[in-house]
Amino acid sequence: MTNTIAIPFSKRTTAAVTVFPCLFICGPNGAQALPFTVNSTPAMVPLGSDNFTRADENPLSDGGKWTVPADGTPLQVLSDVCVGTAYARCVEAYTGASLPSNQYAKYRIGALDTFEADSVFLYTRFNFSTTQGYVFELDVQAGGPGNGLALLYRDYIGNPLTTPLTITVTTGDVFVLSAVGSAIVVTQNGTPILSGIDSTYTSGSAGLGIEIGD
Amino acid sequence: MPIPPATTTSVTYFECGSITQGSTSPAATIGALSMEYGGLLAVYRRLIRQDAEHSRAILYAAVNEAVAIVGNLNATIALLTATGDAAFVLAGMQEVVANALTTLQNVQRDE
Repeated sequence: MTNTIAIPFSKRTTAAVTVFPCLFICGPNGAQALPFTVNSTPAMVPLGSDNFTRADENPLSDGGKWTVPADGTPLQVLSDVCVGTAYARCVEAYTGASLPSNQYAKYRIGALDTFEADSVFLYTRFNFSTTQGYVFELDVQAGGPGNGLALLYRDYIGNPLTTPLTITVTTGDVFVLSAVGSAIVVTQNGTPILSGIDSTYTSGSAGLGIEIGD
Repeated sequence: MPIPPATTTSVTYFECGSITQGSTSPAATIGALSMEYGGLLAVYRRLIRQDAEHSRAILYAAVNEAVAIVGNLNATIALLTATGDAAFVLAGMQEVVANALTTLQNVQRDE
């Protein structure tokens, strides 16, 4: 498989930096300059997953791979999907795998709330005891597919890493929150939508959260 | 009381894992480049606004972050290979990024 990547570089001058590389990546239908065959690369290696296809369970557990944080409200499996259990932020840590510093978490959206605005959360490098780490929050409006608000921040309280972004969300969308070095990036269906630079946290767990009626 | 899944937002799949070297997945390389590009954009926006005397500490922090990101970019691009004319262009890009990293490290050293 060959992917085409156009990578022009330009010089930028600032008070302190005399040469700054500027990288531009084209999609399959974008403007293209130079064809490259990519042969070796960093990769996303799954270490844990859950398709929620099993008998209903509350709290979400999958044989102990999920853990409800202390004082937390659990998620549940209901009719082969993962949903909240209460009108609160329902969160569980994925403890079925130990993740290295460079890590990611991913989910696929199922149904969208037909009556209320909900939020879905991804956590990486997260300490569920101290509630510190990186969080991607997707706020989706009521009534099915439509606009959503994507937020990337640090810690449960929410120290923004970048400006929130309005996006269109539909059933089946896949979101990834990755932390590589100090680059914290969110993608929607493979396209980067949010990014921030932060090196406050270098380790922690992944997790999932759903808040009903946010 | 259970909440019917038909009326709330649900998730049908979850996955977590590591981001590592050694694969032959083009999509992963593009993902890594995308992340580095996003990082560069963010730190560049911060750098160009931090040229005042009172912002020196912020400027230094941004330079440190830029060194880390360009270092990651340097590592990613160093792993790419190409054939034909593209190989010469790729070699040039690798040199540019390596030089940029050296320049940034010099700036960092002079702080």
